[in-house]
Amino acid sequence: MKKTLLAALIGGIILTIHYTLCALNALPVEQTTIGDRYAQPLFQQPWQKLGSDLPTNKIELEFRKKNKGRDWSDWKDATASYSYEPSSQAERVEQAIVDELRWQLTHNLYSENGRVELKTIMESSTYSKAVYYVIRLERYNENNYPDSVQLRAAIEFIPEMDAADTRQLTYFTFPPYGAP
Amino acid sequence: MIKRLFLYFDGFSTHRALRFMPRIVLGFLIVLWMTTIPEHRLFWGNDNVLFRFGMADSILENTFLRLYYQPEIYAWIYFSHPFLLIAGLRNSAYSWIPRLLGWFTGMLLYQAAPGILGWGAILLLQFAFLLIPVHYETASSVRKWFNSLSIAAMRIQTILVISVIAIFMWGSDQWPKGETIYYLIHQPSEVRTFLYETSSGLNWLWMTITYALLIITTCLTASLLFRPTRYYSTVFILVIGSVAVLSFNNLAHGFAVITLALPWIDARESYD
Repeated sequence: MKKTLLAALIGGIILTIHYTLCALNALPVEQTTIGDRYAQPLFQQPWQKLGSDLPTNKIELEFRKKNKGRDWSDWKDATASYSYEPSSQAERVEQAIVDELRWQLTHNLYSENGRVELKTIMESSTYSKAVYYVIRLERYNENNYPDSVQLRAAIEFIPEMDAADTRQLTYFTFPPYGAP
Repeated sequence: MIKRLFLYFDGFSTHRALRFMPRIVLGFLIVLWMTTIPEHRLFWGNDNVLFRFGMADSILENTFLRLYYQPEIYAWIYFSHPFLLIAGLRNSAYSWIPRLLGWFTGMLLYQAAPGILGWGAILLLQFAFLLIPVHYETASSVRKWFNSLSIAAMRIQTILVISVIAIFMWGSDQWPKGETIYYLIHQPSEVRTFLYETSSGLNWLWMTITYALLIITTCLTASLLFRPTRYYSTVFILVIGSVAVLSFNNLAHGFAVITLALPWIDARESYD
């Protein structure tokens, strides 16, 4: 009986410490807590995302490419243009990049001298990921190595409930990127 | 009181959920692996389309990021993963070895492509980790202790997940206004095509579902803890998980929700 009690006590202590640290990770009070350091990468608790607000817009990553001696191609969807379905995992990767892009557009977009400035966004890792994704898909699917690519984010704002659906698109177009 | 609590912990070692949970959770991971087959070379291997900046801080994180740094070894990991999971389905004294390796390969695959499987896979892998030492009907007192620890940990994990979701739901803008499901079904990459096509026009339904989920999630933490309401709570979670499997493009979401209910199944019989 004593052994049982001791075993249960040890189990209880392990669980208490473990889940206290996990709860600190799940309910972030500060930016980096001891809970974050403990929970990464094995016990991460990203459940707050499930209770948070969802985007009120749809964003698709679009691109056009330029090969030597040719004009720019038409704008195409970064994933659907290679015949991937909206339900495909490739689209999920695009949407993961788009989520980061949405954050960048919300926090790092500003205007200077009456012009929209994308400089800060282009210096971010998100933009690099987007460019890499587009070039890599082009190489993977078409075996093509374009000289330049240009990206734009096509944004459709979801109307509020019971409001008319306008289906208008807003574009944020980035400057061309010279591929190495 | 403390003694009762200790006996309660000890009683977990023969909980019947331990018999089927490894099979279901590892089975879900096998199905998820199968869903990645058509496009797996996009995410793992030399031609992958994913990109990461720099290295992580800790040795542990960098260990699990091995497929980022060494994509050429992906085939060993990717193709051994389902066989290890299948070997881990058995309820034997040595099942902890394939389960441990299956969990490890799963973590390597997940960490190299976190955007593919999302939060559902994280939860399933955490449950797979907690199920590593489980051996149902073992005679070993050490293994019984691990069985108790495992089911207790899974139950606390469930409570943690549900209560965190409920707290953030009430703190959000959309859930209390009944708008969340409306915005969710407007995302074609998230929900199945038949739902996306009905996204405009059934606003009353989306609002009703949002409020129902908000109330159910809020009540779940308490109702799971009390024995008389536990059965109904597990049924609610299983229904929500099954609907999620049918509604989301990503099967991991629904599988994870179903898994939340599993440690609480058999609740009526286990303590009588």
